Amino acid sequence: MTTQHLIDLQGVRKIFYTDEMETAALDDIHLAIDPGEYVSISGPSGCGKSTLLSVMGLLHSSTHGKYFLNGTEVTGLHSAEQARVRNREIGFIFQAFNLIADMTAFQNVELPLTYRNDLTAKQRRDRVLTALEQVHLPERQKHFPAQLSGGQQQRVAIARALVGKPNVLLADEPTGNLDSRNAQLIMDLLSDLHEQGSTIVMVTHDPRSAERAQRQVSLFDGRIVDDRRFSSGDGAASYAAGARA
Amino acid sequence: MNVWFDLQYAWRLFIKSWGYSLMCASVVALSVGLAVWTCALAYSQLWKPLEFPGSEQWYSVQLSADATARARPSIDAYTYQELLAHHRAADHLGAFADLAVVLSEGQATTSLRAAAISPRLFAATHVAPRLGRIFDSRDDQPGASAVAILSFDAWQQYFAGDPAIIGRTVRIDAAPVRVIGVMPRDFLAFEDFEVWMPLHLPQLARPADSTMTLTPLILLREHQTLGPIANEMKAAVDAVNRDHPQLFDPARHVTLIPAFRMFTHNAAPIVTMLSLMAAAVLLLGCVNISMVFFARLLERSRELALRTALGASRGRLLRQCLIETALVVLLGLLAGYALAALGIQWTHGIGAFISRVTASGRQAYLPTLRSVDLLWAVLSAMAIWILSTLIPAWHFARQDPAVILAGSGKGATVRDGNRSVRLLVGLQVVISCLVLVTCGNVVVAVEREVNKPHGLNTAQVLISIESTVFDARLADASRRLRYWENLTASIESHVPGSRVAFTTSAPTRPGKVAASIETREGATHDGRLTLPRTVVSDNYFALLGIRLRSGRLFDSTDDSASLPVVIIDESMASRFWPGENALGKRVRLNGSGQSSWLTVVGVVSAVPGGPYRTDASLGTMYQPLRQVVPPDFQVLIRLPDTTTDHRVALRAAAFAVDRDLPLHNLQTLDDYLAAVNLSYTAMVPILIVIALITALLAGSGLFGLISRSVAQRTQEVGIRRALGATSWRATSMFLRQGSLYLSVAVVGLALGILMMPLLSRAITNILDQVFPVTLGVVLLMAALIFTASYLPTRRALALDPGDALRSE
Repeated sequence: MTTQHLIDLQGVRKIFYTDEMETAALDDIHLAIDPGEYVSISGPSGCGKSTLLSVMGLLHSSTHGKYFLNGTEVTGLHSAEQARVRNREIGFIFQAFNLIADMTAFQNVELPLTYRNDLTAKQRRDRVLTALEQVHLPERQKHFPAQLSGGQQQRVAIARALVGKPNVLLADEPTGNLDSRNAQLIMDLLSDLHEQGSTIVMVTHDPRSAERAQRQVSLFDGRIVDDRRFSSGDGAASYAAGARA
Repeated sequence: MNVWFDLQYAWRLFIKSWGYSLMCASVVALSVGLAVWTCALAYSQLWKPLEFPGSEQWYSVQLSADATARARPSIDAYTYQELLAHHRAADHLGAFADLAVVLSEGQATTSLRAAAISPRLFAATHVAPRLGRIFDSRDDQPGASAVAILSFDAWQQYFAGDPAIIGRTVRIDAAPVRVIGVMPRDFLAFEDFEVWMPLHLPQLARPADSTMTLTPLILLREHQTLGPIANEMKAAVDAVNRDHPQLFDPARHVTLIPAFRMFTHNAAPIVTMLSLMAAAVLLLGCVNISMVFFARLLERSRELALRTALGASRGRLLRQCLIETALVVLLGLLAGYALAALGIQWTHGIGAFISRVTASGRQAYLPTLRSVDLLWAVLSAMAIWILSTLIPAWHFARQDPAVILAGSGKGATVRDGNRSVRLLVGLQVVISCLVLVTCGNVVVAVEREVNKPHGLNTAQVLISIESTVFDARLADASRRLRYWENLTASIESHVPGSRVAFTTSAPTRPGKVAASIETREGATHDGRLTLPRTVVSDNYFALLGIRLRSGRLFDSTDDSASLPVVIIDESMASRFWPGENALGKRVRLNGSGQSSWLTVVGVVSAVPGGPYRTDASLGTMYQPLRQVVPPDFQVLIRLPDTTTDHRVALRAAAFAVDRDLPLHNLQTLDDYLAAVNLSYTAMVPILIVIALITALLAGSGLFGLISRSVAQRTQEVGIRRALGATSWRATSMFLRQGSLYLSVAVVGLALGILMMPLLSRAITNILDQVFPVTLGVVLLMAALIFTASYLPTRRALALDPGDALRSE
């Protein structure tokens, strides 16, 4: 009996074409992530970490290979269908928070829900408040991003990622723009979310952040060169067959 | 509900960037306002039906010197008689003639706008009178008693709405006339007449007996085509031309024009030009807002990418963008409609001035704002809204969100944005040049035409705009001469210090007469020449400051007993006797039974005439009042001062001489000349505004493009300067980019120049200054492009190279 992976990348390549050359950002990536996993992706600058996250988040289409999300192949989906999948299955957390300056915290969190047509205003409101409570910021709902600290902004961004109840949270250097204290708070929050059952895939080059994950994937020149799983609690490393490539 | 969410956000952006919002709304307002005003003007001038049912079935029969010349709705009575005799196809052929009649009631004498109209033509309007009856076939029979129909306003104004007016006999042109009907308040057929009387046309044996000019109209039968009628008319006119070659040019051409544009069809090229200009401004506005929106979306590309990452489909992004611009466009639409209303009001002001000076009553061709204009405004705004939003929004909706969110340029994202904006700016430059060349040439041509020196001393001169026509009591020449002497004395006594002259036409609008010129080879142009002619009193030249060049002016000896003489102006002298002394040469008039030779006794300075007078090069000839003793006249009075309005005293002076011969509509000569020029001079500010708008739009578009380019390349500037490039080399990088558009401008210039011949039919001198105007536009565009390129570059150069290197 085989269990269904939440994310299953099979032989994924991503090539960027420019006028005079082509750059392979990802090369023959095979990666399966199960529900409830907390995975960190690390590697040197330019190794393809963010590109891998973009492919997982359907922000980029792979040039070759197949991508199954929750058992369904999402490679080559029509843009409208991709948008629907992003909206319902995936939650994004960015390094630069990417909050919209002219929206309040509440509206920023509400934004992904406005792209759905199956929720009433009350349902949206309830969900937004729940998400803000999850990140401990319900009292800041009327504040604009400029009125929030960096850590608070990132917590709003996490609430925005959570509000749609996605199957996976994709975090791209979530602490990269934060001081160490706020970074610690955000990492604690992500750990809490993972303990509550969330699947998290996090790109980071900070070893301390990577250590929070139960699985650490390392990339180099667009290839997975290391894939370690750690049993939760004992901190002992157990190699999980390394890179399947 | 989600729309409400988008709307709230759009409103926040609208308020936050109020400067941008107002600028865009202004562009929309100008574009929409101009489009609506032009649409209303075009409708009123070219498409508005006459104000009676079925008027689209009516056609005006017009004559022109040849097939290419301007057709005019006036036909001599003989030709009309022949048309009447030979028409078979049309349901009706009728005509009306403008008259100025005098209504005398008690101690009051008033001149009224009147028409002698074919009874059948009047009846064919199918408009029931408010009171009494309309004309029937008995009313134009020989010996029928004189009858008249009053307009509603005339009935109210001159008879206080007397309910017993029907059957009442009034005194018109010193004769009793019975009122048989009063037309409804809104009745305005062809012109705003106050009185209609039946047209009596005696049978004319020869064209020379024609004393009346008529405006003929035909009424088509249901589903009837114009072709057979046009052929029938052409055959009749050709026959008249052929039978009377001494009077009519064989090329004389008949044209049928829809009655609703019988007086305005010659304005079609101007209206078309204005419509094209408005369309160009609309397009420019669209492109401009598109570019501004493009730049704005570029600033917000991260936000759009984020929305995409959060699951917004392209459709949702487009909707969001459309909602954001909708607020700007809505504001622009409202302001544009208000601008159009102001434009209409301004046009009515011009119409009111012309109406007052020429006493022409209500203007049938003034534009009004109709509900369809509101629809047109909405459609124009929607065109701007959708085109200017969808193109940039679609571009950004297709962007790679991961690239933008990562903040790096993997791929060709930014380049694509620049290419689209460059195309838009190129389009803007082309359209601007086209509009600038067209507007520039029209403005220069019209300004030159209306500012031609008229060669008249108009200070303190009043003119009676409408002719005073002698009635049967003054059929005798000696009585008329005595009347003029009495009138002169009466005026001089009522307004001491004034000087009086008489003429048969306004100084810039001489009448026309068929004539022959005696040259060395004998009489030439026999019968084919139509010369401008005015009959004037002795002191006409002195009163108007027309200078004597050679020979003599008229004096009291030039009467019916003396040698028939004529004075010509220097244009006519140089046209027909170039390099010769015109004195002693002879001219023969062919019409009106005057076939004797007139000897040229003087040459005076030329009065060029009104704008675009087609016969201006022929000059004008003057005949003495005492020899011709014309049946009608206009009076010119030089007042001793302008501190007092002497018009009441002047009317009293005329009333004292003959109560049935009032002075019609006394206006200053300056006002009269201004009114004559106004239909052309009114175009000038409109075209200047259009040209300014287009230049501003092109300049701002270019400025935006270069600003963006500079902003994107600030780091590059820093690198170049760090590597040793001088400021000038860095500047030239952007100036080169701007100068590319100068070559693009050539396309617009070429298109503009190609349009000129199309306009030359209405504005005959438009080709005179094409080269300097085009050069001026090139210089203007060069200055605009240089400024738009240089100013943003200065900002980048003001940064230290170190700061520039750190900029993103």
